Amino acid sequence: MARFLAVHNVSGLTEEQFREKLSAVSQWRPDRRTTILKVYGDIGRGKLFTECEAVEQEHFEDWIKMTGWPAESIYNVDLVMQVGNIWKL
Amino acid sequence: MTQEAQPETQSVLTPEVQAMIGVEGELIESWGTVDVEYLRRFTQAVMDPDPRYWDEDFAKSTHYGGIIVPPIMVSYMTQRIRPEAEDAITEAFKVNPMSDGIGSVKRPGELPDIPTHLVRTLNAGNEIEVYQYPNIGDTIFFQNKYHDIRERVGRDGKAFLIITREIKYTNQDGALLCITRQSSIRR
Amino acid sequence: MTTKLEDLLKMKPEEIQARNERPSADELRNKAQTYYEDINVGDELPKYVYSPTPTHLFRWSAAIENFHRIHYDLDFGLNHDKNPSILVHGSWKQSVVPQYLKDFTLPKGWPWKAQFEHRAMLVPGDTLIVWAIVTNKYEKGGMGFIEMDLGMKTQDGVESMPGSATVVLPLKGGPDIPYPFVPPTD
Repeated sequence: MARFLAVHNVSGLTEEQFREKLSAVSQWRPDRRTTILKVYGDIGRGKLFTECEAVEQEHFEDWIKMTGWPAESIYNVDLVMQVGNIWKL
Repeated sequence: MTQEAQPETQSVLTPEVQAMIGVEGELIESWGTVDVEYLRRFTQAVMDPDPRYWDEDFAKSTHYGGIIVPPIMVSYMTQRIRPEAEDAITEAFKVNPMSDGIGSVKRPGELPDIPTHLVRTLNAGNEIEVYQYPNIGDTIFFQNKYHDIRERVGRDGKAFLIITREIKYTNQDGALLCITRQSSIRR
Repeated sequence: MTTKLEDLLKMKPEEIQARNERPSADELRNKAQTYYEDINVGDELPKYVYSPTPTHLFRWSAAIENFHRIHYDLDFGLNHDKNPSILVHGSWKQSVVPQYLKDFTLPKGWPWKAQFEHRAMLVPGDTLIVWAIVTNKYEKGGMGFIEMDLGMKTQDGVESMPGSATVVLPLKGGPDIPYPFVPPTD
């Protein structure tokens, strides 16, 4: 399993649309091995940052296509610090 | 699809492994007794509002003659850490700061390891048989046993083991309350 | 009359939750006996619907003294075990099964035995449907035996706990099911 981070430009996105796309489990867990862990939104500037755990990047890209929020760039994530714990992924 | 091992497959059901079938652990007394407070917490956590668990007058009028207790509830009494034991959680994190919270906690009455080189373990299924509801005040005893060990061959042509452990739960009168079994694949 | 499982699985989570058939305390108190003769092969049992939250998971961990971090420590679960979230306990799922069978057989039947496998990780946010379908019935020793397939499916139809069970129901006009339960010998 691998961790990815995508940056999206989605100008005009509203909070309602953000909630509509991400509320149900099947929306952030599109299959049993792909999980959208977090989506950060700067709604005012139309900028989103999405963190995903998946077997391969292609599965993340499938989800990106499904949401209609094209990614400007996708990064691999090797190291995470979360609330003081450091994880080598 | 799995099948029985063919002569050309290297068998992992060795005589030493076969000799483990039927091996039993010690009969262990769980710490504490079945009490109304644990019953309340358990039945609320499993979300079963049955008045047979808490309405004494009603429970007395039923087929069972009194308050009943879910048999599977007593199976979790076996994992209680005894008060005279070291603080298992503190110890676990001393040994391994990345402890999963349960890994190194030793449980009483465990069975000896199966003498096999196969190390990967996967859960293959669980069973429960229920015979009698425990009563409030019961002391619970449990005993582990290797109920069965079988060999199968996977799609890759390699043999693996299916190991079924059984735990029998009885009370202070020797009454059989329930039996649980857990099967695991070792490959 | 229970909603058919295949129909429930076509519904949105909130519609599934609205069709939850978990009985209340009063319904369990006043439950009428189901007899062996009342059941036919193919019958579906009531559907129990659950919507676990992190707090439900914490309550279960505390009740049974299960300290496994994957059930309450999201940071550990995501980054160490690479799980999709904190996970619903297999032990909780397998404790729901005897309750489900007990409720079906009340007041005088017996929830004898069940077997199942744990598949598919379940997470807070999932809507879970406990279901059972009768596959066989037979009389033995003056008692009625009902065999069934059962499981716990998610709102997306993923089966997380495929299994089967055998319960015992009294025959109409027949003797009480013995308690403690003693299965009839062959």
